[in-house]
Amino acid sequence: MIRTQSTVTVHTPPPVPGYGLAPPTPGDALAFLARGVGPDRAAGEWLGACKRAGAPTAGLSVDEMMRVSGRLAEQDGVVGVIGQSLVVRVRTYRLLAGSFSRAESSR
Amino acid sequence: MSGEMMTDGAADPIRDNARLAEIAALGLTAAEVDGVLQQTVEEAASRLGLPTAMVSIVMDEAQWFAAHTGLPAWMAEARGTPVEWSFCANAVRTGEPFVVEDATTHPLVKNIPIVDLDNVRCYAGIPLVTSTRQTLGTLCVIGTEPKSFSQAELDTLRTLAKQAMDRIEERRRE
Repeated sequence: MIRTQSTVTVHTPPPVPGYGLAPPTPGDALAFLARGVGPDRAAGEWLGACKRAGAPTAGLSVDEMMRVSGRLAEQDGVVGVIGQSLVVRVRTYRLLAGSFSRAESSR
Repeated sequence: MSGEMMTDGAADPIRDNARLAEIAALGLTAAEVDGVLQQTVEEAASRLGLPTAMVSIVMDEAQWFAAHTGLPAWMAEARGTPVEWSFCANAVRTGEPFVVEDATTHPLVKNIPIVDLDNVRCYAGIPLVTSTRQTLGTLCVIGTEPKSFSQAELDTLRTLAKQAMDRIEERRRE
């Protein structure tokens, strides 16, 4: 699937077969943050975390999403909990996708 | 997945900001594993004769295993799962114990992928409720075979859940 944000075109990783889990996108992260702290603060938290992680604000790879989620998880209060949720979701995706990929390549 | 009970937005207790703020205030998503909580989950698994037990903190979009024993390798490494795979979220939503004798036939969990792919069959979770009446997650046990939980077993789990909650409350003063 192709997702386009701003001028960046990104191949969104496919869901893990069987589990149906896709990694969270920047759009997901912004929606989770907006639900927790409101859209204005959400945008600021997202931009700040991207900057601290040295990542772009859109079109992130899974590794970049992990880094940005980790920076959010370091924040105090509700933002930190939302960041930790994102960390778990990205980590789960990476572990299951890696396991599936290894199983496929050993066939 | 527990989608049948899911509601969107602020109405879903899982996403309640006061609850999430309490999780943050108690430092429950720290990477370090609390020794008392770890002892409690090991005792829970041993006393109920099941392979897996954990203190699961249910966040907005994922659950976090603050202490755990006997988990499949990937879950132990992830230290959690997406919230839509969380059996414990059902106990957080209702504030009541959540018991599953056979996950393959239970309407709230039978479609969660870990039931088939990670062989989750039985489950019992006791809500962890703070002095401020926020339900953080559960102390729970999991087995790989269907099982009926006796009242005595659930009472044991309640006692251990209180022990875990006492320890969590101590963290306010640390």
